[in-house]
Amino acid sequence: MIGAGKIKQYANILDKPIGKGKQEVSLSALAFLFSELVQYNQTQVDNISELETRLEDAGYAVGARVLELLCHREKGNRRETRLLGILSFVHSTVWKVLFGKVADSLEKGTEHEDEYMISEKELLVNKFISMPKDMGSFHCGAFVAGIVRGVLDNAGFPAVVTAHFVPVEGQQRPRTTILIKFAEEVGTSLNSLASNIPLLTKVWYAQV
Amino acid sequence: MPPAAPRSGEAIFSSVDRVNAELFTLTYGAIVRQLLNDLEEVEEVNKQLDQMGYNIGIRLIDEFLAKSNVSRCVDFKETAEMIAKVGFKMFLGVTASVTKWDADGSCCSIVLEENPLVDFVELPDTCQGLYYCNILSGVIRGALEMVAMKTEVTWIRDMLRGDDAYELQVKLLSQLPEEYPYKDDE
Repeated sequence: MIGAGKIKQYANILDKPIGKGKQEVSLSALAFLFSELVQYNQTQVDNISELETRLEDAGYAVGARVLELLCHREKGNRRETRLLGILSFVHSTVWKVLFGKVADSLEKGTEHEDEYMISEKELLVNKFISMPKDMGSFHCGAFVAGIVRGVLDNAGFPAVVTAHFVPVEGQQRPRTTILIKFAEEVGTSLNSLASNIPLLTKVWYAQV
Repeated sequence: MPPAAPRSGEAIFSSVDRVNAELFTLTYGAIVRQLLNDLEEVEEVNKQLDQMGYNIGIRLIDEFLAKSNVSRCVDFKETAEMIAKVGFKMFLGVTASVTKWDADGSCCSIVLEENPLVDFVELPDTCQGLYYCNILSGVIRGALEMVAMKTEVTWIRDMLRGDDAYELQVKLLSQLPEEYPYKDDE
């Protein structure tokens, strides 16, 4: 029968191989999809902060799954347990896989000990989006902020993550900064341990 | 200047900007999850996905026509071939095939062998009536409506429901006459 040959049927989806992650779709397909996501959410909310929250929640789910997928595929089932490790994981590996390049920069906040910033000249998802004046400070990068929050939260580093526009001199479109503010229990040292360490230890012994 | 020859799906796909398919898959999953959360009724979610696809399709057709340089299709058969070979390739990076033409050439099936929307997806028992990829049927319907063809697009086979491939049936309902926005005698 035509079309029946190529995809192998697996009895259980967990048996299906994950794949190398090299498959691509066109940027416009993603842009159209993202615009529908934003437009749908606009009909479901009354104000801007609710819209940001909904986009962030959508991104959170993506982030949780991205963490599992990348830990398995890129890092051989090893999880980052230190703050510095998870930050560079997000800045390099996650960004490289999702957006095709590492993030422009990763900085530590000067005003507060527990703040870090990932900056990007233009977020991929925002490439075709223009903001009307009456939307004020709304940033579609809330979706990406949600992805980062999902990765950090599920790795054991709870944080509040937000996206901001930072105007840059000489550039027409402002730069985007993802601000990560870690929760109290994470601690401020770059060597802080993930808060789900006991769980990780159990998992490791189970594999042995 | 002679018109440029139509470009193959493969050529266009390699010339456009591309992103990781997994980001696309996961974003689509997030959308479906949100809809299931908000709407709760599986039928409503199917309709909403179709509507979202329609909104995408009416804009996607412009990009398709601009990038692919196709000339006017002679008949519906050529249209279906264009969708399967060029359209799916240039946006989703997958090839589809067209089969099961009926006697008068107005109804066909487009079979997708790979589908980037459904990686990692399994339908739970509570959502058995869900057409997970229903956005695709909306996209095709919307795109064709913008080129004056009213169609009905339905899913015949769906791998998430246990079939062995993804098959969409595209049925041409009517050709809409070209409407000019002005009268000739004014």
